[in-house]
Amino acid sequence: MIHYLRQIWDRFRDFIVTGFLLLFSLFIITKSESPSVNSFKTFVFGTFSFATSFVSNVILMTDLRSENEELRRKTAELMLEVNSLREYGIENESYKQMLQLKDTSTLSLVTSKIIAKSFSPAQGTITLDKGSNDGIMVGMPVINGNGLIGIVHSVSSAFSIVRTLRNVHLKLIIRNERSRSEGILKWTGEYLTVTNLPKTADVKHGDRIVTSDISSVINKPLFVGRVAKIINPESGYFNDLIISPGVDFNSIKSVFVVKTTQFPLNTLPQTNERGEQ
Amino acid sequence: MKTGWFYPLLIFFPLLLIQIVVIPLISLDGFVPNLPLIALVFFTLKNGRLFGAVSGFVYGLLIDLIIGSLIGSTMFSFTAAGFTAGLFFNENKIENYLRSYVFILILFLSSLVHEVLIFVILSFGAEGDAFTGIIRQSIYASLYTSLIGSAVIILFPGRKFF
Repeated sequence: MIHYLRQIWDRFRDFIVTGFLLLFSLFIITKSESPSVNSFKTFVFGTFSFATSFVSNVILMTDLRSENEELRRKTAELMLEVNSLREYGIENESYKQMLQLKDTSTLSLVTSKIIAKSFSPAQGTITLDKGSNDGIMVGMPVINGNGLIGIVHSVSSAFSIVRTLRNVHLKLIIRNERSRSEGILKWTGEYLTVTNLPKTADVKHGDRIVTSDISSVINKPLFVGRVAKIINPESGYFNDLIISPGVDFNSIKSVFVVKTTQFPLNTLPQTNERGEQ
Repeated sequence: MKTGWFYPLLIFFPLLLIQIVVIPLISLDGFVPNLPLIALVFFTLKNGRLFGAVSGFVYGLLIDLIIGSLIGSTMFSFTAAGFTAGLFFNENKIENYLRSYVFILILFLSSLVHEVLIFVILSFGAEGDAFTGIIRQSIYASLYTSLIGSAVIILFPGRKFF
Protein backbone atom coordinates (compact mmCIF):
# COMPACT_ATOMS: atom_id res chain seq x y z
CA MET A 1 0.00 0.00 0.00
CA ILE A 2 2.74 2.41 1.03
CA HIS A 3 4.70 1.45 -2.05
CA TYR A 4 1.64 2.12 -4.19
CA LEU A 5 1.07 5.53 -2.58
CA ARG A 6 4.73 6.35 -3.03
CA GLN A 7 4.44 5.51 -6.72
CA ILE A 8 1.44 7.81 -7.08
CA TRP A 9 3.28 10.57 -5.21
CA ASP A 10 6.38 10.20 -7.38
CA ARG A 11 4.35 10.25 -10.54
CA PHE A 12 1.87 13.01 -9.73
CA ARG A 13 3.76 15.03 -7.13
CA ASP A 14 3.68 18.26 -9.15
CA PHE A 15 -0.05 17.99 -9.79
CA ILE A 16 -0.85 17.09 -6.16
CA VAL A 17 1.18 20.00 -4.76
CA THR A 18 -0.24 22.44 -7.31
CA GLY A 19 -3.78 21.24 -6.62
CA PHE A 20 -3.23 21.68 -2.90
CA LEU A 21 -1.82 25.20 -3.37
CA LEU A 22 -4.77 26.17 -5.58
CA LEU A 23 -7.27 24.83 -3.06
CA PHE A 24 -5.44 26.58 -0.24
CA SER A 25 -5.58 29.86 -2.20
CA LEU A 26 -9.33 29.48 -2.62
CA PHE A 27 -9.65 28.78 1.10
CA ILE A 28 -7.65 31.94 1.85
CA ILE A 29 -9.98 33.95 -0.42
CA THR A 30 -12.93 32.88 1.72
CA LYS A 31 -11.08 34.12 4.82
CA SER A 32 -9.76 37.31 3.21
CA GLU A 33 -12.05 39.71 5.05
CA SER A 34 -11.51 38.24 8.51
CA PRO A 35 -10.03 40.69 11.06
CA SER A 36 -6.89 38.62 11.72
CA VAL A 37 -6.04 38.34 8.01
CA ASN A 38 -6.72 42.05 7.54
CA SER A 39 -4.50 43.08 10.42
CA PHE A 40 -1.68 40.90 9.07
CA LYS A 41 -2.17 42.41 5.61
CA THR A 42 -2.10 45.91 7.09
CA PHE A 43 1.17 45.10 8.87
CA VAL A 44 2.83 43.75 5.70
CA PHE A 45 1.74 46.52 3.36
CA GLY A 46 2.63 49.12 6.00
CA THR A 47 6.15 47.72 6.25
CA PHE A 48 6.75 47.44 2.52
CA SER A 49 5.22 50.86 1.90
CA PHE A 50 8.19 52.55 3.58
CA ALA A 51 10.41 51.28 0.72
CA THR A 52 7.74 52.16 -1.85
CA SER A 53 7.37 55.62 -0.40
CA PHE A 54 11.11 56.29 -0.57
CA VAL A 55 11.46 55.25 -4.21
CA SER A 56 8.24 57.01 -5.12
CA ASN A 57 9.47 60.27 -3.61
CA VAL A 58 12.69 60.12 -5.62
CA ILE A 59 10.78 59.58 -8.85
CA LEU A 60 8.12 62.17 -8.11
CA MET A 61 10.78 64.84 -7.57
CA THR A 62 11.53 64.76 -11.30
CA ASP A 63 7.87 65.13 -12.09
CA LEU A 64 7.20 68.10 -9.86
CA ARG A 65 7.91 70.82 -12.41
CA SER A 66 5.26 69.73 -14.89
CA GLU A 67 2.82 69.12 -12.06
CA ASN A 68 3.39 72.65 -10.72
CA GLU A 69 2.58 74.11 -14.10
CA GLU A 70 -0.58 72.09 -14.29
CA LEU A 71 -1.55 73.17 -10.75
CA ARG A 72 -1.05 76.85 -11.61
CA ARG A 73 -3.37 76.49 -14.57
CA LYS A 74 -5.88 74.65 -12.42
CA THR A 75 -5.70 77.34 -9.72
CA ALA A 76 -6.55 80.02 -12.25
CA GLU A 77 -9.50 78.01 -13.51
CA LEU A 78 -10.72 77.37 -9.98
CA MET A 79 -10.39 81.05 -9.10
CA LEU A 80 -12.77 81.88 -11.93
CA GLU A 81 -15.14 79.16 -10.78
CA VAL A 82 -15.00 80.33 -7.16
CA ASN A 83 -15.93 83.84 -8.20
CA SER A 84 -19.05 82.65 -9.90
CA LEU A 85 -19.90 80.26 -7.04
CA ARG A 86 -19.42 83.00 -4.43
CA GLU A 87 -22.46 84.79 -5.70
CA TYR A 88 -24.51 81.63 -5.43
CA GLY A 89 -23.09 81.13 -1.93
CA ILE A 90 -24.25 84.54 -0.77
CA GLU A 91 -27.65 83.88 -2.24
CA ASN A 92 -27.75 80.43 -0.61
CA GLU A 93 -26.75 81.87 2.77
CA SER A 94 -29.65 84.25 2.74
CA TYR A 95 -32.05 81.41 1.89
CA LYS A 96 -30.60 79.36 4.76
CA GLN A 97 -31.13 82.21 7.17
CA MET A 98 -34.66 82.53 5.93
CA LEU A 99 -35.22 78.80 6.56
CA GLN A 100 -33.18 78.88 9.81
CA LEU A 101 -30.97 75.98 8.68
CA LYS A 102 -27.53 75.32 10.09
CA ASP A 103 -24.65 74.10 7.96
CA THR A 104 -23.60 70.94 9.77
CA SER A 105 -20.89 69.79 7.37
CA THR A 106 -17.39 69.56 8.82
CA LEU A 107 -15.42 68.63 5.75
CA SER A 108 -11.68 68.82 5.89
CA LEU A 109 -9.14 67.49 3.44
CA VAL A 110 -5.89 65.61 3.97
CA THR A 111 -3.45 65.87 1.07
CA SER A 112 -1.79 62.62 0.14
CA LYS A 113 0.47 61.18 -2.53
CA ILE A 114 -0.09 57.90 -4.33
CA ILE A 115 2.96 55.75 -3.73
CA ALA A 116 1.75 52.56 -5.41
CA LYS A 117 -0.94 51.32 -7.75
CA SER A 118 -2.22 47.80 -8.29
CA PHE A 119 -0.91 46.35 -11.52
CA SER A 120 -3.78 44.29 -12.78
CA PRO A 121 -6.68 46.27 -14.22
CA ALA A 122 -9.09 44.13 -12.21
CA GLN A 123 -7.63 44.97 -8.80
CA GLY A 124 -8.31 48.71 -8.64
CA THR A 125 -6.40 49.72 -5.52
CA ILE A 126 -3.95 52.52 -4.75
CA THR A 127 -1.66 53.02 -1.74
CA LEU A 128 -1.47 56.45 -0.10
CA ASP A 129 1.37 57.87 1.98
CA LYS A 130 -0.95 58.86 4.85
CA GLY A 131 -2.40 56.60 7.51
CA SER A 132 -4.07 56.58 10.90
CA ASN A 133 -1.39 58.95 12.28
CA ASP A 134 -2.85 61.61 9.97
CA GLY A 135 -6.42 60.86 10.97
CA ILE A 136 -7.19 58.63 7.98
CA MET A 137 -9.70 55.92 8.75
CA VAL A 138 -11.50 53.19 6.88
CA GLY A 139 -14.49 54.39 4.89
CA MET A 140 -13.28 57.92 4.14
CA PRO A 141 -13.81 59.07 0.54
CA VAL A 142 -10.80 59.99 -1.60
CA ILE A 143 -11.06 62.71 -4.22
CA ASN A 144 -9.05 65.00 -6.45
CA GLY A 145 -9.96 68.13 -8.36
CA ASN A 146 -11.81 66.07 -10.97
CA GLY A 147 -14.05 64.07 -8.65
CA LEU A 148 -14.37 60.95 -6.54
CA ILE A 149 -11.53 58.43 -6.75
CA GLY A 150 -12.52 55.80 -4.21
CA ILE A 151 -12.83 54.87 -0.57
CA VAL A 152 -10.20 54.03 2.03
CA HIS A 153 -10.26 50.28 2.55
CA SER A 154 -7.47 49.56 5.03
CA VAL A 155 -5.17 51.72 7.10
CA SER A 156 -1.82 51.28 8.81
CA SER A 157 -0.16 53.92 10.97
CA ALA A 158 1.58 55.66 8.04
CA PHE A 159 -0.11 54.31 4.89
CA SER A 160 -3.53 53.41 3.60
CA ILE A 161 -5.03 51.40 0.76
CA VAL A 162 -7.90 52.82 -1.26
CA ARG A 163 -10.39 50.89 -3.34
CA THR A 164 -10.90 53.01 -6.44
CA LEU A 165 -14.06 53.22 -8.50
CA ARG A 166 -12.33 50.67 -10.72
CA ASN A 167 -12.64 47.99 -8.06
CA VAL A 168 -15.43 45.49 -8.66
CA HIS A 169 -16.16 45.25 -4.95
CA LEU A 170 -16.96 48.94 -4.56
CA LYS A 171 -20.63 49.82 -4.99
CA LEU A 172 -22.09 53.25 -4.25
CA ILE A 173 -25.46 54.89 -4.39
CA ILE A 174 -25.31 57.80 -6.80
CA ARG A 175 -27.67 60.48 -8.02
CA ASN A 176 -28.29 62.21 -11.32
CA GLU A 177 -27.63 65.81 -10.32
CA ARG A 178 -30.20 67.23 -12.73
CA SER A 179 -33.13 64.84 -12.39
CA ARG A 180 -32.35 63.54 -8.85
CA SER A 181 -32.91 59.93 -9.96
CA GLU A 182 -30.80 57.40 -8.05
CA GLY A 183 -29.03 54.16 -8.90
CA ILE A 184 -26.14 51.94 -7.91
CA LEU A 185 -22.70 52.65 -9.30
CA LYS A 186 -20.25 49.81 -9.86
CA TRP A 187 -17.28 48.74 -11.97
CA THR A 188 -17.99 45.76 -14.21
CA GLY A 189 -14.35 45.08 -14.93
CA GLU A 190 -14.54 47.13 -18.11
CA TYR A 191 -16.98 50.00 -17.55
CA LEU A 192 -18.26 52.17 -14.75
CA THR A 193 -22.00 51.56 -14.80
CA VAL A 194 -25.15 52.61 -13.00
CA THR A 195 -27.71 49.87 -12.66
CA ASN A 196 -31.24 49.60 -11.29
CA LEU A 197 -32.28 52.91 -12.80
CA PRO A 198 -36.03 52.82 -13.56
CA LYS A 199 -36.92 53.19 -17.23
CA THR A 200 -39.10 56.14 -16.24
CA ALA A 201 -36.08 58.01 -14.78
CA ASP A 202 -35.15 61.20 -16.58
CA VAL A 203 -31.59 60.72 -17.84
CA LYS A 204 -29.80 62.47 -20.67
CA HIS A 205 -26.45 61.97 -22.28
CA GLY A 206 -23.88 64.16 -20.47
CA ASP A 207 -25.82 64.43 -17.18
CA ARG A 208 -23.60 64.90 -14.11
CA ILE A 209 -23.52 61.95 -11.70
CA VAL A 210 -22.76 62.65 -8.03
CA THR A 211 -22.80 60.54 -4.87
CA SER A 212 -26.16 60.46 -3.16
CA ASP A 213 -26.86 61.92 0.26
CA ILE A 214 -28.76 58.75 1.20
CA SER A 215 -25.53 56.74 0.84
CA SER A 216 -24.33 55.19 4.09
CA VAL A 217 -20.70 55.68 3.00
CA ILE A 218 -20.58 59.06 1.24
CA ASN A 219 -23.47 61.33 2.11
CA LYS A 220 -22.01 64.38 0.38
CA PRO A 221 -22.60 65.06 -3.30
CA LEU A 222 -19.16 64.32 -4.73
CA PHE A 223 -18.80 64.43 -8.49
CA VAL A 224 -18.30 60.98 -10.04
CA GLY A 225 -18.64 61.49 -13.79
CA ARG A 226 -21.01 62.07 -16.69
CA VAL A 227 -23.46 59.82 -18.48
CA ALA A 228 -21.67 58.50 -21.55
CA LYS A 229 -24.19 55.98 -22.80
CA ILE A 230 -27.73 54.89 -21.94
CA ILE A 231 -28.36 51.18 -22.32
CA ASN A 232 -32.06 50.66 -22.78
CA PRO A 233 -32.88 46.94 -22.89
CA GLU A 234 -36.23 46.03 -24.47
CA SER A 235 -37.29 43.89 -21.53
CA GLY A 236 -37.25 44.63 -17.79
CA TYR A 237 -38.03 47.71 -15.74
CA PHE A 238 -34.55 49.18 -15.51
CA ASN A 239 -32.02 51.00 -17.66
CA ASP A 240 -28.26 50.82 -17.28
CA LEU A 241 -25.91 53.74 -17.79
CA ILE A 242 -22.27 53.80 -18.73
CA ILE A 243 -20.48 56.57 -16.86
CA SER A 244 -17.43 58.41 -18.07
CA PRO A 245 -15.52 59.09 -14.80
CA GLY A 246 -14.34 62.60 -14.07
CA VAL A 247 -11.03 61.26 -12.81
CA ASP A 248 -8.37 59.92 -15.14
CA PHE A 249 -7.26 56.94 -13.06
CA ASN A 250 -4.13 56.40 -15.14
CA SER A 251 -2.63 59.79 -14.42
CA ILE A 252 -3.53 60.56 -10.79
CA LYS A 253 -0.54 61.18 -8.55
CA SER A 254 -1.87 63.04 -5.53
CA VAL A 255 -5.27 62.98 -3.89
CA PHE A 256 -7.29 64.37 -0.98
CA VAL A 257 -8.85 62.26 1.70
CA VAL A 258 -12.12 63.79 2.88
CA LYS A 259 -12.55 63.84 6.64
CA THR A 260 -16.02 64.46 7.95
CA THR A 261 -17.71 63.89 11.27
CA GLN A 262 -19.77 61.12 9.73
CA PHE A 263 -16.66 59.18 8.81
CA PRO A 264 -14.97 56.96 9.58
CA LEU A 265 -16.70 53.66 9.60
CA ASN A 266 -15.22 51.85 12.53
CA THR A 267 -15.26 48.53 10.78
CA LEU A 268 -14.49 47.45 7.24
CA PRO A 269 -17.17 48.51 4.77
CA GLN A 270 -20.17 46.21 5.02
CA THR A 271 -22.71 45.64 2.32
CA ASN A 272 -26.12 47.03 3.17
CA GLU A 273 -29.48 45.88 1.89
CA ARG A 274 -29.06 47.87 -1.33
CA GLY A 275 -25.85 46.07 -2.13
CA GLU A 276 -23.83 49.19 -1.38
CA GLN A 277 -20.65 49.11 0.69
CA MET B 1 21.11 25.66 -15.35
CA LYS B 2 18.81 25.58 -12.33
CA THR B 3 18.76 28.63 -10.07
CA GLY B 4 17.50 27.22 -6.77
CA TRP B 5 14.88 28.87 -4.58
CA PHE B 6 16.74 31.74 -2.96
CA TYR B 7 17.68 33.85 -5.99
CA PRO B 8 14.12 34.15 -7.41
CA LEU B 9 12.86 35.25 -3.99
CA LEU B 10 15.68 37.75 -3.62
CA ILE B 11 15.00 39.35 -6.99
CA PHE B 12 11.26 39.52 -6.31
CA PHE B 13 11.31 42.49 -3.91
CA PRO B 14 13.21 44.98 -6.10
CA LEU B 15 11.09 43.84 -9.04
CA LEU B 16 7.88 44.45 -7.13
CA LEU B 17 9.14 47.85 -6.07
CA ILE B 18 9.79 48.77 -9.71
CA GLN B 19 6.44 47.30 -10.66
CA ILE B 20 4.35 49.40 -8.30
CA VAL B 21 6.34 52.63 -8.48
CA VAL B 22 7.96 52.90 -11.91
CA ILE B 23 5.91 50.71 -14.22
CA PRO B 24 2.66 52.73 -13.83
CA LEU B 25 4.52 55.54 -15.64
CA ILE B 26 4.46 53.44 -18.83
CA SER B 27 0.87 52.26 -18.51
CA LEU B 28 -1.19 52.15 -21.68
CA ASP B 29 -4.85 52.89 -20.99
CA GLY B 30 -4.50 51.39 -17.52
CA PHE B 31 -2.64 48.27 -18.67
CA VAL B 32 0.83 47.64 -17.29
CA PRO B 33 3.32 44.86 -17.93
CA ASN B 34 3.65 42.39 -15.08
CA LEU B 35 7.34 42.16 -14.08
CA PRO B 36 6.93 39.57 -11.29
CA LEU B 37 5.15 37.33 -13.79
CA ILE B 38 7.98 37.71 -16.31
CA ALA B 39 10.44 36.70 -13.57
CA LEU B 40 8.22 33.80 -12.53
CA VAL B 41 8.06 32.41 -16.07
CA PHE B 42 11.79 32.92 -16.56
CA PHE B 43 12.72 31.02 -13.39
CA THR B 44 10.09 28.35 -13.96
CA LEU B 45 11.50 27.54 -17.39
CA LYS B 46 14.84 27.01 -15.66
CA ASN B 47 13.54 24.97 -12.72
CA GLY B 48 10.37 23.07 -13.63
CA ARG B 49 6.66 23.06 -12.94
CA LEU B 50 6.75 22.30 -9.20
CA PHE B 51 9.05 25.26 -8.79
CA GLY B 52 6.65 27.32 -10.92
CA ALA B 53 3.63 26.44 -8.82
CA VAL B 54 5.33 26.99 -5.46
CA SER B 55 7.07 30.21 -6.55
CA GLY B 56 3.83 31.45 -8.06
CA PHE B 57 2.10 30.78 -4.77
CA VAL B 58 4.74 32.67 -2.77
CA TYR B 59 4.93 35.55 -5.27
CA GLY B 60 1.13 35.78 -5.29
CA LEU B 61 0.90 35.78 -1.51
CA LEU B 62 3.41 38.61 -1.22
CA ILE B 63 1.71 40.62 -3.97
CA ASP B 64 -1.70 40.24 -2.34
CA LEU B 65 -0.32 41.33 1.01
CA ILE B 66 1.66 44.26 -0.33
CA ILE B 67 -0.73 45.82 -2.84
CA GLY B 68 -3.82 45.15 -0.75
CA SER B 69 -5.86 43.21 -3.28
CA LEU B 70 -8.21 40.39 -2.29
CA ILE B 71 -5.88 38.05 -0.47
CA GLY B 72 -5.69 34.70 -2.23
CA SER B 73 -6.60 36.04 -5.66
CA THR B 74 -3.08 36.59 -6.99
CA MET B 75 -1.92 33.51 -5.05
CA PHE B 76 -4.35 31.44 -7.06
CA SER B 77 -3.68 33.02 -10.45
CA PHE B 78 0.13 33.06 -10.04
CA THR B 79 0.17 29.43 -8.89
CA ALA B 80 -1.76 28.45 -12.02
CA ALA B 81 0.39 30.68 -14.24
CA GLY B 82 3.62 29.27 -12.78
CA PHE B 83 2.40 25.73 -13.27
CA THR B 84 1.37 26.53 -16.85
CA ALA B 85 4.85 27.84 -17.62
CA GLY B 86 6.32 24.75 -15.93
CA LEU B 87 4.48 22.48 -18.35
CA PHE B 88 6.96 23.63 -20.99
CA PHE B 89 9.98 22.82 -18.85
CA ASN B 90 12.51 20.67 -20.64
CA GLU B 91 15.97 20.37 -19.14
CA ASN B 92 17.55 19.97 -22.56
CA LYS B 93 15.86 23.00 -24.09
CA ILE B 94 16.14 25.62 -21.33
CA GLU B 95 18.63 27.76 -23.18
CA ASN B 96 16.78 27.44 -26.49
CA TYR B 97 13.52 28.57 -24.95
CA LEU B 98 15.02 31.53 -23.14
CA ARG B 99 16.84 32.73 -26.24
CA SER B 100 13.97 32.57 -28.69
CA TYR B 101 10.42 33.70 -29.38
CA VAL B 102 9.24 30.53 -27.56
CA PHE B 103 9.78 32.40 -24.29
CA ILE B 104 7.40 35.14 -25.43
CA LEU B 105 4.75 32.58 -26.39
CA ILE B 106 5.03 30.79 -23.03
CA LEU B 107 4.97 34.15 -21.24
CA PHE B 108 1.87 35.19 -23.18
CA LEU B 109 0.10 31.94 -22.31
CA SER B 110 1.02 32.14 -18.61
CA SER B 111 0.03 35.80 -18.48
CA LEU B 112 -3.31 34.98 -20.11
CA VAL B 113 -3.93 32.28 -17.49
CA HIS B 114 -3.09 34.75 -14.72
CA GLU B 115 -5.17 37.62 -16.11
CA VAL B 116 -8.23 35.50 -16.89
CA LEU B 117 -8.20 33.85 -13.47
CA ILE B 118 -7.72 37.06 -11.54
CA PHE B 119 -10.47 38.78 -13.55
CA VAL B 120 -12.81 35.87 -12.92
CA ILE B 121 -12.05 35.83 -9.18
CA LEU B 122 -12.28 39.59 -8.73
CA SER B 123 -15.29 40.04 -11.04
CA PHE B 124 -17.19 37.18 -9.44
CA GLY B 125 -20.77 38.32 -9.10
CA ALA B 126 -20.34 41.29 -11.44
CA GLU B 127 -23.25 41.72 -13.81
CA GLY B 128 -23.22 42.55 -17.49
CA ASP B 129 -21.24 41.17 -20.37
CA ALA B 130 -18.30 40.26 -18.17
CA PHE B 131 -16.99 37.47 -20.40
CA THR B 132 -16.12 39.72 -23.35
CA GLY B 133 -14.50 42.23 -21.03
CA ILE B 134 -12.46 39.55 -19.28
CA ILE B 135 -11.13 38.10 -22.51
CA ARG B 136 -10.40 41.47 -24.10
CA GLN B 137 -8.65 42.96 -21.08
CA SER B 138 -6.72 39.76 -20.40
CA ILE B 139 -5.41 39.68 -23.95
CA TYR B 140 -4.35 43.35 -23.86
CA ALA B 141 -2.59 42.93 -20.52
CA SER B 142 -0.88 39.71 -21.67
CA LEU B 143 0.28 41.27 -24.93
CA TYR B 144 1.86 44.15 -23.08
CA THR B 145 3.56 41.82 -20.58
CA SER B 146 4.86 39.67 -23.46
CA LEU B 147 6.15 42.73 -25.29
CA ILE B 148 8.15 43.87 -22.27
CA GLY B 149 9.16 40.26 -21.59
CA SER B 150 10.82 40.11 -24.98
CA ALA B 151 13.60 42.12 -23.33
CA VAL B 152 14.64 38.87 -21.66
CA ILE B 153 15.52 37.41 -25.06
CA ILE B 154 17.37 40.54 -26.04
CA LEU B 155 19.34 40.60 -22.79
CA PHE B 156 19.97 36.85 -22.68
CA PRO B 157 23.48 35.96 -23.89
CA GLY B 158 23.72 34.18 -27.25
CA ARG B 159 20.19 35.05 -28.31
CA LYS B 160 18.59 33.78 -31.53
CA PHE B 161 15.16 35.31 -31.87
CA PHE B 162 13.84 32.78 -34.42
